[in-house]
Amino acid sequence: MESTSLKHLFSSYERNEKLFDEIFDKDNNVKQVYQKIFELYSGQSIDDFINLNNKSKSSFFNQGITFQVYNDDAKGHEKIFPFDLFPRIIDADEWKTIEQGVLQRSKALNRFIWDLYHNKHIIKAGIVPLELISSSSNYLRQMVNLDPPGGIYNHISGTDLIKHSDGKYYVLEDNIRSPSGVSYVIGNRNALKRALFGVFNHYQIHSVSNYAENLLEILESVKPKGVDVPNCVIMTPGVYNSAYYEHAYLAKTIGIELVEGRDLVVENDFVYMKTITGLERVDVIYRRIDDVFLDPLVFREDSALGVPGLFAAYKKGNVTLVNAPGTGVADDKAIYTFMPEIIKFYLGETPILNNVHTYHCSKPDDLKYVIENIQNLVIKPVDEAGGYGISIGNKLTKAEIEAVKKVVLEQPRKYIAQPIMSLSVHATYIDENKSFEQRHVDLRTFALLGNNKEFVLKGGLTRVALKKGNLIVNSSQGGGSKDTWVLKK
Amino acid sequence: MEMQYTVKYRAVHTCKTIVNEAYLQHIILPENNATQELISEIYTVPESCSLQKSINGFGFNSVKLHCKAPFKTIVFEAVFALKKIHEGVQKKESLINTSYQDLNSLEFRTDFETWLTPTDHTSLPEGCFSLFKILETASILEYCLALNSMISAYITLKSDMNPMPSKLGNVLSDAAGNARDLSHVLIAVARQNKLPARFVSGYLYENLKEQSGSQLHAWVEIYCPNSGWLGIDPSYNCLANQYYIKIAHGRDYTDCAPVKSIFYASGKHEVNCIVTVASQQ
Amino acid sequence: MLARIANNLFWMGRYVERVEHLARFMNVNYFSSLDAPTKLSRDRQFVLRSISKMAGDPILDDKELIEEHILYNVGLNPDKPYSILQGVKCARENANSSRDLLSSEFYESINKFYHFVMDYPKDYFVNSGLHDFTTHVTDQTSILKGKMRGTLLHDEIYALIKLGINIERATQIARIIKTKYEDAEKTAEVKNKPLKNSFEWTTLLKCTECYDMNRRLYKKTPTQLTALEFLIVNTHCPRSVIYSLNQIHKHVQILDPLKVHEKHSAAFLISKMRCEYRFKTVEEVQDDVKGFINQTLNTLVEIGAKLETEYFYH
Repeated sequence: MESTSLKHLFSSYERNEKLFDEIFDKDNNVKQVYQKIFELYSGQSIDDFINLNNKSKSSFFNQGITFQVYNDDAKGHEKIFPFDLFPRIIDADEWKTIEQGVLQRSKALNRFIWDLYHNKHIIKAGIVPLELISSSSNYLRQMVNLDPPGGIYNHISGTDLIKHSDGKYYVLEDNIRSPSGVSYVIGNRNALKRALFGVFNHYQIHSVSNYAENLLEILESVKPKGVDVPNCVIMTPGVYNSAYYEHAYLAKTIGIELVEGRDLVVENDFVYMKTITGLERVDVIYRRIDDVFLDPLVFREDSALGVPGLFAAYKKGNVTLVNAPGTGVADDKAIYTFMPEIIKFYLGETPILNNVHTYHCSKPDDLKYVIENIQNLVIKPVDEAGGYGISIGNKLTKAEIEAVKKVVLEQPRKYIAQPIMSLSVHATYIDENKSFEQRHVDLRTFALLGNNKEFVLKGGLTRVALKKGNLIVNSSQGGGSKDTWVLKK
Repeated sequence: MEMQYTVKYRAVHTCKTIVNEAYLQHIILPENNATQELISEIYTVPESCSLQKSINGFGFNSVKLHCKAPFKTIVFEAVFALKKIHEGVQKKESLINTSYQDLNSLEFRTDFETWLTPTDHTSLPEGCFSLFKILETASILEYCLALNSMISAYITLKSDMNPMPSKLGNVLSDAAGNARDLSHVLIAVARQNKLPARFVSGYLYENLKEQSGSQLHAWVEIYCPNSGWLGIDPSYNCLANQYYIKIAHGRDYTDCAPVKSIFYASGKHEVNCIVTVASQQ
Repeated sequence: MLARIANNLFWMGRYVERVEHLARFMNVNYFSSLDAPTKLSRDRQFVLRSISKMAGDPILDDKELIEEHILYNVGLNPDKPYSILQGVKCARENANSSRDLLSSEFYESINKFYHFVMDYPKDYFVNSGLHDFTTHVTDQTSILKGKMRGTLLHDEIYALIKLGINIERATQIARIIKTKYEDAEKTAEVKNKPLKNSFEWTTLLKCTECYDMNRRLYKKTPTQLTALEFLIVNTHCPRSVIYSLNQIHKHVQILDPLKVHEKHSAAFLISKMRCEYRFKTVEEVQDDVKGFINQTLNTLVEIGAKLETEYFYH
């Protein structure tokens, strides 16, 4: 056994020259920001590392930092989100671009959604096609001409970024319905601190623990008119929701109530929660349930998760919903492709972050290109979350390509296509092989937008596709995650 | 000409099993607008229910009951008194001059997106539009009238009110439907022809000697550029007049359904509504 | 505090307490029967019936019981609502729903407890793991209670959990007394020995972890009188019914100190029951032990229902 224990942690690290490696440069040298941690890790034996890895895994499990996965048997299984002990490091300059770019997108999206529910200038100017909203199931006509408190729709957004082989960041999508994952950012940091406290002395890293207090300030900044100190709550679909851990975590760290629909009641268009001493007014609801479930009197009648009368209270300005109902219209992958134009139209700025070129199957020319070049493209449904329904052209068999063509041709509006982007790779500890290997990573950032207040979490969720060569990083599809360090200047 | 009406609305909610809690939303309150004015409203509800006035998703008044005590039946009654003024003939004439040109502009289509986009209940099966083809008429008004009589003639009016709207395909193949179905058909065809159209729920005064209970009525409003919304009723092949008392409008029936209820019970529930409209003129 | 969450905290307390008593009852009855003085007390069938009855699933016919089945049902059967596994599962589910209010330390303990029970091998348990499993369960509940006391703010959250624990404790102690009293009656009948000196009184005290305390106080072998007195009216015994009532009284006041003045409120009912108990003598109880225990159980159910309508449903 001695030979394995003395084996260098990176001795079997294989580099694929075609991929952009976050740690090694072209000449196989460790990049400057990684040098210190690389030295520290190199001093460890594989056995020490295995030990550390197992400890951190059981720590996650015991703390119940898990999510539910529903398989065919309809029974929920508890899984930990696989966590990698090798952090991703982003230096101050690189981060500055990301932060500014993410904020720029958030603000532009907010102006865009406001416009879609008011004068629709951008459509009348011919920049975004009318069909994009008229055919979107997330465009809520009940929101037309309604002014959300503070003028904010997308208070909370999560932008997914990748680094392409050209070394530049590209935005994959903007999640503004209920982006999740921020609790794992904090969980990962805590786990890494426990496991490798010695490493932290060598780096000046931005803290991620200030997310909760900033979120509360954002919620309070959009309180309804006439409220002095607002009572904010988080609304969850319940303990069986896959992101329940996150809902509970946020409620606990912010110090506000975690409510379910059945805890709330609407009286005379004001919202109250049922407490042991009677009803208590609620002013701001950070809701983690979808629009259609909010209020059975207005949306889906069979919704047991919602609160009858909630939308009327919102419409009368007596309660704030975060994010605003109808925000999802801009979460559509087809809207994403107009982002450069949207930023220009509302802010008069050039986009800081790149967009991946996108082909709209709804446009005849694009559709033709897509059908002819499926093997070089990623085909995505416009309104699915969680990485479902994605086909990656160069991984398909001939028969599969034909099947995809058929589906796309049947409902072209439902699909977009993008060139296959080469996600950058990062050294990741692979349990089965007991060694470090290259794996594809992306980065989800978390931005908050309030009334005269904005915030971007200095850190993020680096998601790892644990299967070799796989590009899909979603946790529901077998992805893992890494702590992400943003260095101070 | 001014009319005075007394509208009585009575809804009986029943459930086969005991209901522990229920929310009942009624959209039955006549709206205040240029031609009608609500004078008084009186409600009768069981003691165990709380009554609250609120709004629906599109801002129309609603009356909500919240029942917490166990029950099997709830009777809700409302009495409204209102004034209705007959629209001047002059206004109608201005309609004649409106033309088709504006309908194609992006600005118009964008502004009226809500009333131009088909919904599940206002989508006609492929090919059905050819049933209602009208050659270009002199004005939008004429077009609307022609379309209205065509639909009115094609579909026989039935008085029954199913709780759920019928499929338009069935309505056309049976050539029969209730006021709601006829309205949905008219809306579907109007929207297909680029005319913004919306579903109207309201009361109809039927000048009969013997007032027997009836149901809520439904008709359509179509937007004519330059002159505004035009009330039109495919059930009786006429324009809405002083006998039409509007409650609310929406994209289709589901946006302004008179009753929406949420029961916390296992059994099936149903509601029976009776409306009487009397005139004091 | 949300009414639903209050309800969940209350029930979490009850489930934790319930599994503790069930595990200990199983352990003590099974192992003390192995060398019991009377033949009936040693009889495995008799012990299994007693365990099943305590769990809330009395066996009414005379058919021969299979030991593995009974132990599995009470210990690890996920389909039996009374099993220890189900109890722990419910406790953890209740903790999950109020996770934002509980300390990480407490949650981690209950989560570990849950995984321990869920992962316990069934075959090992019914064949040779009974002692290991039940001991571990009672140890875990002690750890949980320690974490509760040490890592939660002693506010209404704590009061609600303690309320659940103490109502459940009073209930379980009363049920254990009832079960063992009936066992004692049966053994006395068979042996024609006086009921008051039955071996079952010792088992009863052991089931409630009171044997050592009782010996210290009375300095002789437990009898019916000393066992009952100790478990019902001794205010210094942390397992006695009166002790639990005092705790319930203390914690319900944290929720709403003024409620006690309202006739027929839960707080009022608790105070009333507590007063009755304070001036009860064991001699009075002895005349009709079963009647007295039944009345206690009924009042506890009534208090539980009152708490629900007053605090948990609006």
